[in-house]
Amino acid sequence: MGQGPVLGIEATAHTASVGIVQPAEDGGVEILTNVSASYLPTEGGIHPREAANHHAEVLPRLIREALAEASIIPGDLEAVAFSQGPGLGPCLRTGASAARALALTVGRPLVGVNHCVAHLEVGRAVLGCQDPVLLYASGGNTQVIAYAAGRYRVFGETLDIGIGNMLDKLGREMGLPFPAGPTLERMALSGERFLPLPYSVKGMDVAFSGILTAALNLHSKGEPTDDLAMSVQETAFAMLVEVTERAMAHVGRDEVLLGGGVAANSRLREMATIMAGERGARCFAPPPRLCVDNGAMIAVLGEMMLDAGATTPLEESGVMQRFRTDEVEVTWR
Amino acid sequence: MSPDDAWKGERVIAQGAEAVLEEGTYLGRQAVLKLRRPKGYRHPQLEETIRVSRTRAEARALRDARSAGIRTPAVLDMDAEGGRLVLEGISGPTVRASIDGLEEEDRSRVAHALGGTLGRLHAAGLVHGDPTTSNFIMEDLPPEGPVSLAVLDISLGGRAEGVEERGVDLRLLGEAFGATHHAHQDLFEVILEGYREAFPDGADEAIARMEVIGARGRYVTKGSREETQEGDG
Repeated sequence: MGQGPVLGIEATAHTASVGIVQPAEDGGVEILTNVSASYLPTEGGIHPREAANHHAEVLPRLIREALAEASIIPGDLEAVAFSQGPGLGPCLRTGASAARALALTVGRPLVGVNHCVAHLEVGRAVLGCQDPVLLYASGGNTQVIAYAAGRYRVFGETLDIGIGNMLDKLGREMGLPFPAGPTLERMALSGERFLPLPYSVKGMDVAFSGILTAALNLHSKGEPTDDLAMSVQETAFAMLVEVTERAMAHVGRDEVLLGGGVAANSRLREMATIMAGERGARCFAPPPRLCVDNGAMIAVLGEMMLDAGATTPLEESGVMQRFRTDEVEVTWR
Repeated sequence: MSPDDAWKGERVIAQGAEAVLEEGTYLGRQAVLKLRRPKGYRHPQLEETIRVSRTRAEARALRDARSAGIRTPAVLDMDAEGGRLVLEGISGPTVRASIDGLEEEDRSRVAHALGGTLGRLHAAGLVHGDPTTSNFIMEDLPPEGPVSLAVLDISLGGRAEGVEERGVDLRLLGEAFGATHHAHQDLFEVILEGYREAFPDGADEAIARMEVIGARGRYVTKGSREETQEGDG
């Protein structure tokens, strides 16, 4: 680990967040602070430009708050890390601009990090798992990732929409606020009758548009929303857990790590834990605040990369909307 | 006769994600029991449906592939409700376990056979559904000439003649091959060559679809598929 604190800026989608971490005495990292503000559309989904305006407005305040909460001054920072991608262009650029401005002001290096890899590394750093298969389930991303020969590689992913997008679209039809996941989770607790929905698993890949279409149909036919919420969760999550288990068997790993906003769902966490238990493996689920998009995970990966000397020169700090997980050369582990 | 009476288990040979494989004898003959145990994480109703339908689908697909001349284990007995299939034992290393250690030329022949086997499945109106290198067995490696591979675990596939299903199969093979045998990713071209030779009528269309599916499923800016998306700001 590096010597001093690293500040991380996250702005890939609807959440702007700033976290600060510092090396811990045991060789791990300590999260000093993690503050966020989310853009919530009044109706419909995320409008990238509006989200970016929101982030531009709140980031200076979040940075001040984070520094104050961590009781450090900007000059104490060793580096400034930021989400370089993947994500929505306007949001990414806002986060990157804030990071560049701060790094230039304090004269410290920038560390551009891959958002998806950060979801994995925060789990390893905080929960102490060694070499897990990551189930990364969020709004736009649904991937099963594991480390192999110097890279994090995607073993499975969604063939159409991210699981969170699917839940949000269903929620929107039901008149639920964005993001719909937490409300659907509560409704599912009262669901009693299981309604069959398309179960679409192809190898280690999944597809969700079939579930969405079928669920919207059942909704328009007046099926109780609680039953529908329960059935959608049970079906979609079983698909996720199945492909995760298949990846674990395929690459021979006995740890599963959860990440992404949808991994904050208690039922998904329970299902992954049962799966791991049945195959003699262990399930690691970060606290929900570290599952959702957050600045601390960006700072965690920034700290690891800084330690390995992987800083980002200004001229290479442009954002990459389609930054692939397996494009990152992993030099820090 | 139910499998319980005729089956004598000896040892567990693999604990996959989908099922436990046990070696033993069936009516005195060497065989493998494939047992789909209930998954505790799945809703009981979903669990029942998946276990029974996959067991049936696998038996059917194995039979269909065999009648198309593709080497697959013979189905000796089935109890769909119990999630049990008794299969002929096929001996040999999986392609996954063996390909990285082969000489370059043999490795290329095996890659060619991998594509060829998938091509013959597709030409027979079947798709595999989970074509990772773990699901192809190298029964023997002749010093020269074509390599014959046996196919296992078709439970996620079955009868399907759509270009989409074929494209997905190819993409899965490419993805699994690239992720597992990253030192030899360039061999995917050889795999596709074998595929084209075995399936001249549909290969090009399926390969084109594979590329489309790749572009579609890969990370395309969050929310951009249906939400409003502005250009670079």
